[in-house]
Amino acid sequence: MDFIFSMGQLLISNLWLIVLGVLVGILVGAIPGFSAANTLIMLLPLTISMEIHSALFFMAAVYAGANSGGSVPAILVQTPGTGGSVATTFDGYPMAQKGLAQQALVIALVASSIGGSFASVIALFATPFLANFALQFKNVEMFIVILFGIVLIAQISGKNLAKGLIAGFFGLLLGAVGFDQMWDIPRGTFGVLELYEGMPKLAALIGMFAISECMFMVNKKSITGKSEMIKTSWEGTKEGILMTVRDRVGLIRSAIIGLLVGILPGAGASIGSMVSYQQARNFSKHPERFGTGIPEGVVASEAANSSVTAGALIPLFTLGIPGSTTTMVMLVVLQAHGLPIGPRLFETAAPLAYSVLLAMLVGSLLMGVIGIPITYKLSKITVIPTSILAPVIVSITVVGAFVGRGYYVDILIAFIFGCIGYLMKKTGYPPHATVLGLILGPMAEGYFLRAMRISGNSITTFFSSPIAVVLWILLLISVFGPSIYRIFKSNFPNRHLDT
Amino acid sequence: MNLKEQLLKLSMPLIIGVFSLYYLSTVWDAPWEAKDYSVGLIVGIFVSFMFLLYKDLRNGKSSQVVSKHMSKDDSKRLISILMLALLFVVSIYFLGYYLATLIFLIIAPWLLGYKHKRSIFLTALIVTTLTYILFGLFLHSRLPQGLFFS
Repeated sequence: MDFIFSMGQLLISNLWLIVLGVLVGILVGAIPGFSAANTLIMLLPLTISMEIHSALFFMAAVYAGANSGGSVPAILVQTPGTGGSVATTFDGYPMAQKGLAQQALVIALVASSIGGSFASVIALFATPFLANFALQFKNVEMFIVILFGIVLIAQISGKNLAKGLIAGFFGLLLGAVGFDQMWDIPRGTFGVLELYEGMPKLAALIGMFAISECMFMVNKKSITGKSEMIKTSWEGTKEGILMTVRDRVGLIRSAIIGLLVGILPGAGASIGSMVSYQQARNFSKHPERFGTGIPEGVVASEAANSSVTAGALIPLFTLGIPGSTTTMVMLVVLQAHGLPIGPRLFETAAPLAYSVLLAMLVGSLLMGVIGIPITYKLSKITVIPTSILAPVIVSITVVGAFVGRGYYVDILIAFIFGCIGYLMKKTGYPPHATVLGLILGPMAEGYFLRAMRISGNSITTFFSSPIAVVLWILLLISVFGPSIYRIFKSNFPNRHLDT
Repeated sequence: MNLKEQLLKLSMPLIIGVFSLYYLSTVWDAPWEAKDYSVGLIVGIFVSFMFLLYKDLRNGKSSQVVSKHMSKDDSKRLISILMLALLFVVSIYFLGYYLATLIFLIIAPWLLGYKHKRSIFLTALIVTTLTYILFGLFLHSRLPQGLFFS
């Protein structure tokens, strides 16, 4: 009882931060090219200085708000604000063209709010069971889980699996820069003293995502190029809410799909909303109407992309594996506050995990209440000149790179990672895989070295437990499964689909 | 295909390859137990590259592609922001964060083609002041003071 009371007290005292987080989230989500992850990277100096509870509440609220904010330009100008809003353009923009822009915006927000709340409640109840299961994961299993996470993110975030794996291994290698954990041998430091402590994760994160994004941004005059303000009325708002509530089954199905996709490391809101949209069309009595501007399409996409956020928190708190780029930033903040990362996180900081999931629930509920009037005003945001925005982003993110460890060299490292991130994006190597590898690298190495030491340097230890064997099988399926499926499909084509 | 594009295509394999070799050289003399993990990763990178090469040879086309071709103007803007960012980073070392930011936020938008002087000055002033209030006064973060002022 005391536990619930103290959690409630904590939430109430930080309510203003959750409201602020939702507002910031909706605002940045509405700017195409910006995302919750980019914003949280920019705000890292702020969140690192905060109490861990407050920082995570704020981050969870930004994360929840950004996915629904992304629907604003998706509906108004057919430019998704975030990756998760791509599927929203399919029906949201046609609705706007039919003169139903206000209704579409309300549907997006209400579906996001309900989807996010539903997924948060499920995550709240499911996380302790999953965390108990995760406690059975020892060094061997955790090493394979990290490899599995890298393989999944490599597979999902890039078009080419080999490139994704190269990026992931490169990240793990970068994570192994600095003193060896057992032998104290400096590795890959280029003689730079500051690198003996390891590669700075904050600087790498900022460079790979924020600075490289600015390099792409400067080649566009404004973020979208066009903007429209919509006319609003109370009737329109009411109609939008009713349209959403009418599609109850679709809402719940999409929220469950989003939650499940969110649990997979690297899958993220874009895949969640696409899968949900596809399923909504499959289950619909009128699949041919999808894409012509129907509320069900907007509901499917938005409910799913919001519930992905709650799903992505589950592997973070139970295994210490981030399910998305945004949760990667959260992991960095958890590490900066000295919390144990891995299955022991939930054991040692269960109240923190519960309260963050509750904050996500509150944020999702608030989104529906405070979001509606704000989104109406947000259509102007889509015309921000990049020539002024990019330098501002660079100048603010530099602070984030510096405050992590207080070394000037980290600013230079962020700049170098910015260039590497740009080249990676330009040539099809997923930077997400590298960053995940870099963040999880020291953990992976630690698990590997301990497992080897305990087993007397026998490599067979990695196949010694049933869980490890199952994880290896799943890993092999995820690597070779798609190729085997393609070969199988080309040898035994499905004639039903042709006819 | 010009040399610039070829270099761009091969940039990541080159960066990863050179870094892996350098890393390997730093652990070469270490006992096997201290380098088995990193050698395993480098082998992973090598095998993945070989797989990529095998697929390219089988398909008859290179997987090292550039996502979008840039016009001369785009290249100029990109190089401008790169040089400006580099100058900004270097100037932080000498002038400190706040002064370097103020100068950077005035010069960069102007060079990138934004010509509203008042907006530029106002943005630079507001961002620098807000950063100072937030980090300097509110959070007491010690940002780089600069060689000339420390």
